[in-house]
Amino acid sequence: MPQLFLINGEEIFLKERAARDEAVSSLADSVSEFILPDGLADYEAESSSFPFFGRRRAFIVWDASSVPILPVGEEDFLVVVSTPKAKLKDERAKRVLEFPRLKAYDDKNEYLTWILKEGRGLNIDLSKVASALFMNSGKSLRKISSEIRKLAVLVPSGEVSPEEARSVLCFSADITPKEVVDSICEGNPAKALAFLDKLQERGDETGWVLAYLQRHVIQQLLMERALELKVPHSEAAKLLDVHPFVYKKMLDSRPGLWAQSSLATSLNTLCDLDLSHKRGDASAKLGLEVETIRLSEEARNNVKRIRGR
Amino acid sequence: MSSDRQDLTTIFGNTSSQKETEDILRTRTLLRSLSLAGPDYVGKRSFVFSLLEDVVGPSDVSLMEEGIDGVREARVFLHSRPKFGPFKAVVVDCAESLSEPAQDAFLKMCEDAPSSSVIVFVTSDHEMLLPALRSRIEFVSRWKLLSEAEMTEALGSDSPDSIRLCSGRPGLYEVMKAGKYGELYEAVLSAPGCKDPYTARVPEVVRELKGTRGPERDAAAVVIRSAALSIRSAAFLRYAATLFSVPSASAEVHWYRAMFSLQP
Repeated sequence: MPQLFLINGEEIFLKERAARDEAVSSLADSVSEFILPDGLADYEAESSSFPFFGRRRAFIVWDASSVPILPVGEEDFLVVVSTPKAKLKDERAKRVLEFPRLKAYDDKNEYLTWILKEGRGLNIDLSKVASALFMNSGKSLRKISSEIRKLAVLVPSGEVSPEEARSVLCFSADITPKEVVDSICEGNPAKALAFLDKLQERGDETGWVLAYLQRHVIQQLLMERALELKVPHSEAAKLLDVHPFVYKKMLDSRPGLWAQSSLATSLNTLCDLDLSHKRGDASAKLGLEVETIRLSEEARNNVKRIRGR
Repeated sequence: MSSDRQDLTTIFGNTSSQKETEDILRTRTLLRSLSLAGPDYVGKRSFVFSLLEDVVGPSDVSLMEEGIDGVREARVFLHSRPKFGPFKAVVVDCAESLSEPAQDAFLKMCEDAPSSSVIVFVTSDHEMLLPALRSRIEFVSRWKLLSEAEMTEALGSDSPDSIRLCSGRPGLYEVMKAGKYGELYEAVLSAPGCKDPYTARVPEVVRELKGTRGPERDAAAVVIRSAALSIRSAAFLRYAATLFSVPSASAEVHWYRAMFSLQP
């Protein structure tokens, strides 16, 4: 009876790694890979013929939305990797692996747990550099994994110190204006400006950041007003055009960071900057920096006030 | 080079301007450049393009494309011999938005162009052209907004609201009829008295506006401007001007700006 393994989830890197590990551990004489839907006919043609040379064959089928036919060889081995949205089930499966998207909440960052676990697998302790790895490489597990392998070469065993990590890490995180806005909300102008600079390194992104910041200010204004009027959360989420869960997360940390009058002033400024940027005025970039600092500092002062209560 | 053919009889209003332009182009002797100046969407470009196609034939008239390539093409076009008509003509639409180098190029063309050529500038603001270019334009035909009576006479009384919202611009009539511009007008009128502009929904027309200049965006700007004038709202007048002048500006964000500006 051929063996069937199913791999579900959204973390593509983990799915790929697990699928190849399963194929290798099957000790098959040959491994063939097929990407569905285009490769389905080829897979069916090959898997329905009896093995010619080796006795044991392994097949990896990628992006499957359902389980294809099993190969005919008694000792054959089939690994079916689902599309991110599909969830494959089959009673014949020997093992079903699940790799859901890791969460990166402030209070529960699964990426950090994963980094530590990866380090343990390579006999190194990453506890002092896990956060830096996450900041540098973002949510891309492939990039983080590649950085960890570099560190494992540098430090064969034991604890990796920040100095050792700094010498080999490269900054490869995908920065978006969201990071700038998050830093503003944290009340950290230096961090916000650092992200802004990083963004500008790859070209003029002033328009993108302005649009994101305008949207943030409008959402913040609407949220403050909705709270004042005691609008039900579901209704307020609709008004803000965000998912109720996102609105709930916003309520955890963002109310009271800015006065409504300050937000209205900010919207005015950002709109003026947007117009001058679109008219080709280079000083809009500078204006954006000034507004970033102003919003960050106000958030910092208000965070202190809120915590002091 | 694109075409903008329309039956001459379907273009209405500004009768005296139409007549003087037609007389000049049909009985043209040494005239090399003229300008049709007046508000957008009153039919200037459609009229002059159709008239020229009638006078010289479709192959001897061209609408200039945007950009420096368009200027080069226009130059080449004017320097070739007319195929069928008595002269060749280039129509330069939105002449007020031409860059300075492009205007300089047209200035030179006005001076050097062969006698068998005519350049027609269509502009919403003749004064925005460079003074040197203005001085070379031999005739200026002034067009104006149509009255509501003229619009009703030509378009019938099926959709009086759309006619009113057009504010004398027949080119926007079909757009006004198709969209919810009445709702937009009411939203602007009620904005100052709105108890809570924070929770007032953004009108559908505004939400659907894309970041490019087009009849829908211009129609929204006309409606907002007209409503803003009746309530004397500087915030919404500025919003209308933004929609007109900065096509890539987000209509929704600037709507919020206008609404929030009304708050004490």
